[in-house]
Amino acid sequence: MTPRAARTPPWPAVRFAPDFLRRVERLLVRLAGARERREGAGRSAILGAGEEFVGYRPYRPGEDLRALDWSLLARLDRPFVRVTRREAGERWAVLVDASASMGVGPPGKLQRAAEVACALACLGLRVRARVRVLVSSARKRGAFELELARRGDPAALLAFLEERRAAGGCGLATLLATPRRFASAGRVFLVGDFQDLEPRALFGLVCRGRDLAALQLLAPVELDPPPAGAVEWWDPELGQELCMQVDRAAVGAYERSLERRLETWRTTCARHGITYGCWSSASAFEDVVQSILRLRT
Amino acid sequence: MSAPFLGLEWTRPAGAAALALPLLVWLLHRARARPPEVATGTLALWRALCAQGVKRAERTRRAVPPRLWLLIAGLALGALALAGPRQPPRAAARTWRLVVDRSPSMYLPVGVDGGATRLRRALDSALELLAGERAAGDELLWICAGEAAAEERAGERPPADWLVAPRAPRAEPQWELHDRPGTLWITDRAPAVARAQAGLCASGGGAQGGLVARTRDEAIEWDGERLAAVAARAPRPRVVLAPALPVELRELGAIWAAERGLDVAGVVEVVDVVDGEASDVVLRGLAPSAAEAAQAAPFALGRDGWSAAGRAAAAGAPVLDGQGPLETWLAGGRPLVTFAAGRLHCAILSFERLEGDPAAFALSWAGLLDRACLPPPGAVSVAERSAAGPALSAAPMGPPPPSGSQRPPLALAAWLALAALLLSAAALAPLAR
Repeated sequence: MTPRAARTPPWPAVRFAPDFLRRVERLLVRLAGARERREGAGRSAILGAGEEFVGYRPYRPGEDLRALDWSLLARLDRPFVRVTRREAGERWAVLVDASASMGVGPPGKLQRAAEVACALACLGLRVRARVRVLVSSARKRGAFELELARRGDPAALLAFLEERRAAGGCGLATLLATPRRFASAGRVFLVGDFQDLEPRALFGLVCRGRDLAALQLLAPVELDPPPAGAVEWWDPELGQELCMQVDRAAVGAYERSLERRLETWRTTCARHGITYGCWSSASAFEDVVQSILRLRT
Repeated sequence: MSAPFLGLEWTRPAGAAALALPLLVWLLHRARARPPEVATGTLALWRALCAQGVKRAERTRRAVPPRLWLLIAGLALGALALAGPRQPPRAAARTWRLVVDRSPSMYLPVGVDGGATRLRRALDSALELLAGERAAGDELLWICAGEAAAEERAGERPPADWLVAPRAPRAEPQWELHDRPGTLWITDRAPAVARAQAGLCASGGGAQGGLVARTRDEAIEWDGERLAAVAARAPRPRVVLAPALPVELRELGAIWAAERGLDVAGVVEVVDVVDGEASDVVLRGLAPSAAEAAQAAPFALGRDGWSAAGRAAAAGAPVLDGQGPLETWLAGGRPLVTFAAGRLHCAILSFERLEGDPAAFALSWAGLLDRACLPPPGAVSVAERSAAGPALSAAPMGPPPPSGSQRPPLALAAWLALAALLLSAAALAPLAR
């Protein structure tokens, strides 16, 4: 029997809306405003334990006393915290899963992952980081990659991502198998459905001075399958299929099983200092980016 | 326009295109019944659920509901009815009538030097002619009609006994009674009767000399041109007169036989006259058996200028024997004397009174004996021996189709339409409610 994957037309390629970059720009502005409002709220996603001094803010009870400027306290008798920005030479890496399962939707998980990756990359460029975008591939040595200089053109990133298409069985696991590609990155974002990953696969990426964020995207039909009666499930990545009765009981059992799996991710990542979040591919990329940055706060 | 298929004739073949309708219904149901295919990246979770006992749905378990089967069957039958099926008309089993002339000339050779008889030659010619005329399934009816009742036999060939010359000469058929389509006359020469619809196969043949008649001591022979009396080489033919016959008749018979050059045998030990055997017995005069004679009854008979009374077997003479029906002299409704070629049955046991001219009595009985007497073996009349002329062959008009060969009506289509209507109604009735 011909595997289903071979019989299925390829998933559509990534396509960015014409106003996508304007939405990204608005997102960055909103993030900057939020940062300003959140001044003194502690470590932020962008401003954090870096080396470049950008100013002071009032100390809040409970904050790490190591950030307290003791000399200023002595002179002014008021506690202030030094606010620094990450070094200009900081490197970011955005790893995107483009395996066949990322085509599941609608909307397609890869489409949303590409938008999120693009927004994160633009954010990195905004803070003058060097951003490397890695997209898993079954053909080109496991990944397509694009490195953006500090003042890189986001349009090149869009063109790069629009050439990507969900296919094959190589996902994040393939990208993580070659960690030297992003060994120097201080911030690493993993964007995918994590179907080929277990939480422990991320343990090796955790190291001092690196922020690791895992963004799991699932399609609505994966997060909340309707009780549609007889359904023939098929996995585009494995080419396997399963015909079953999806009634309310089955949906309930599935949701409980999925929740257990997501909870495993959540607790494991929290225990190892990895920022983790799971979103529906139906969510707007702005919400995903804002959420992951908020989780990192 | 009709097209044969499945042994039926379809008057509207284009109507079969409606068969696509039930197929479409079935495909639609199949498409609707097929579970939707949903891609997922979490197939492992679903598979794990199945391992935990969540019901799986087999793809092959999409049964077509009975109502849909009824609807599909109804639509299919309706489509078939639309195509107008009907039984093809049975092959018109026409019957060719072959009237065979069995007169003595038909058993003479065609050529002067012998060979096949005229009958065989004419039969071969007829069968050859029919081979080009008859259609598959056509039947042949062989008819032998002379003075006696017509004899009819069906088959591809005439009965074998027809090929043997009958001991009692048969008359030529009355051709005018057989001039109709599908009829073929089989004879040796063109009949004098005008032929309009029947066909003709005449063997033709040259003149055949030979014995024509016989007198007391001479044989009259014909050499093809003239008659000649020659010394008889064969023994005299015999007449058998039963001893139980009245003495008057036996004496008269003896005189008649002597005049005709026949010997009289007094013992009834001769066998029946059989066709094809050159028996020298030309007439048998038979009397009632002893048992029949025991039940005698008076009779009174008068004809040809004489009358008689006496006693006769109460049962009378048979009117039918193994060789066919007999001509009858009736007396008071009782067959007193019956006769046919070669045989004479007389129920009279004794004469008690004879009135009228004795010569009239003798002539009357002599005429009866002459009519019943067979010709001597081998004797054929000059008219029969004369030349038959050239062979002739003319195809007849085809026989009319049998009366029951009309095209059957579209009863099958009507039944199919009715069945389609019922099935569709049964399928759709629950929806109406």
